Amino acid sequence: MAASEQDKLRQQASSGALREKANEGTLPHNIFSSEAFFELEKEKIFQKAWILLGHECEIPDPGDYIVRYICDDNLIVTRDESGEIRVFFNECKHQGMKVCRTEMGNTSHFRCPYHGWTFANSGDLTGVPFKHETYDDESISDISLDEPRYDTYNGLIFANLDEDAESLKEYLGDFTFYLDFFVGRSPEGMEVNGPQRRIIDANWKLGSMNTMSDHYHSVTTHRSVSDIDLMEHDEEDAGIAAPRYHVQCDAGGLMMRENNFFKNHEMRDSIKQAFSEEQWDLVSGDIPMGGNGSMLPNVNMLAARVQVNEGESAPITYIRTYRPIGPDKTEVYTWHVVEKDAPEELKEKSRQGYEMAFGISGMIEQDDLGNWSSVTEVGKGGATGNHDVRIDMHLKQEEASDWDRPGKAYKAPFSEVNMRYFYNWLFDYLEA
Amino acid sequence: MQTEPISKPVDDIELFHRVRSFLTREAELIDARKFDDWKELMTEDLEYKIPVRATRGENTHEDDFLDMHHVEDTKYRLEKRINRLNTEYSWSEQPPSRTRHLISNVQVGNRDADDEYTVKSNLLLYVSEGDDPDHKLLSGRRHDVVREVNGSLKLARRIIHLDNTTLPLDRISIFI
Repeated sequence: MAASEQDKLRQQASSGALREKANEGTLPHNIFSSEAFFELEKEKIFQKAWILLGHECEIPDPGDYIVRYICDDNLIVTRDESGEIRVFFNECKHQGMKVCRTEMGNTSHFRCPYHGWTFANSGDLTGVPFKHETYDDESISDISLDEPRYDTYNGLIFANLDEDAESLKEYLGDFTFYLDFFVGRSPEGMEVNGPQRRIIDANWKLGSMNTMSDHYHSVTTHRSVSDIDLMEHDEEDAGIAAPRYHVQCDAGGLMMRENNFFKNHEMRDSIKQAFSEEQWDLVSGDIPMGGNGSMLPNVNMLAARVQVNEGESAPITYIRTYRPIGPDKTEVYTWHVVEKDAPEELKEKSRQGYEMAFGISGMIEQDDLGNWSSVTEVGKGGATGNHDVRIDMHLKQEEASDWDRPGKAYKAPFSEVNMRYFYNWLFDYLEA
Repeated sequence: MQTEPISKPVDDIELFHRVRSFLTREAELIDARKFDDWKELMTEDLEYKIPVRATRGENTHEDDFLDMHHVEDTKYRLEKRINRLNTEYSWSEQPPSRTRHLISNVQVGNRDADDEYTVKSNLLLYVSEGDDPDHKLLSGRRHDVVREVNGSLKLARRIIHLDNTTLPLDRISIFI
């Protein structure tokens, strides 16, 4: 794309013109491939919003650490000697090399291989080679690794690169009501396995849009898994074209439908204790609900039952996040999520069911990837980049009057209303 | 331990040749996409696993593997994957990937009481898709258990330790 067109797209994003277009039901195709638009997203979204880094159970003991990214910023997430979770930029305070070059492990300190500056896992500088020959005490007296803002919700660890951003609690708002269905299902907390990491040739937005809004693709993209009966369906399952509530609530959106995930869940008694009365009523009442969705901007979540062995199914849950590397390059992290108090045998079956259906080799997920990379690639075309893609399904639909839960909902088997919610949220950041 | 080399490989040339031929035939069936025939070379109690690797230790690879897998198949799950590929809607393999399994550094351990041999080999897997001139390349170490079943060899267990932590593939829709 010519530089002038890139500037035009950026200008349209900032001025509100693209928001208007999205609300009329179209997006310029190059929104998935433009370098300029991507740079704007990196600056205005990924340096301003709360971004998922991992789960507390990945670092259970003092000294445990994991290394994660927000776009190109590399972060160490560690549990210090007092048991507190800390997040540091992986950047030596001397001349900026990474002080940690593994993905995870346990250590009481991080030593930079360049000049040997050493930092405790509280971030404090504790060692400088030839200290007396190099610096006066004052100039190195109060040095520690830089920390972004960070906070946790139900075990999930988030960071925010903007010092002035609202709190995580304010950011999530009432979306926690729904987020708990995936990460708050046990009084003892949840645990994760993973992550699986891989690089895909697709724009980061496509996965988020897809999981919070697009049931329509299931009919075609995922036809093979219904042909081989991968998922458990029982008599009460109303089928692929059953009505769904497309729910929009503060920092997220999801699709909820009649579903027996909670009703049939092996851990239902303990789940009931973890949930509020309103939450339990929604997933276990007269019409038990379940579903999948996305937390903005880039976290997907899903709960379902998979046929893991002959005649045997297991409840599975995943959390998936996208680390943008370029407009057409994204690193995907996926974790399997399970109740900490589940029996070991159930945890294992659940993990195996996840691996079979989702994640890098999952028979559902593998058919999504080609779609997302193809949409990205076609967006690079000199002509096709300027074409429109449609997000106008049920453009004029009225809000569902029978949704008395947090947020608002639209009722239809298939709808793109949550994609429009996603873009309105996105443009709130891009126009700011 | 699993990751260690076989300490005393067999010196039985005929057995070595049988195992080597078995591995070659098995790899060729995958590359020829004759998955239904390939499946017949597996025992009923098959374990086929690719654990997720992570760069954990500063000085060792001992703790490299997480309690998570890229693939954790039994015969039932492998059959599901093959059945899916046989449907009209297995988009991730339409058009099919071209794979080339190169198997080398084969070592065969002595037969044990269960009529099984421990077999180790290196894998280099080349993957080409569509008209993309670029390719994907995976390398890894395979830790197999091969069993004598009625005079034929069958694969009872395979654990593949890939050399990547972050995979260069967007999906695993092929058999590795």
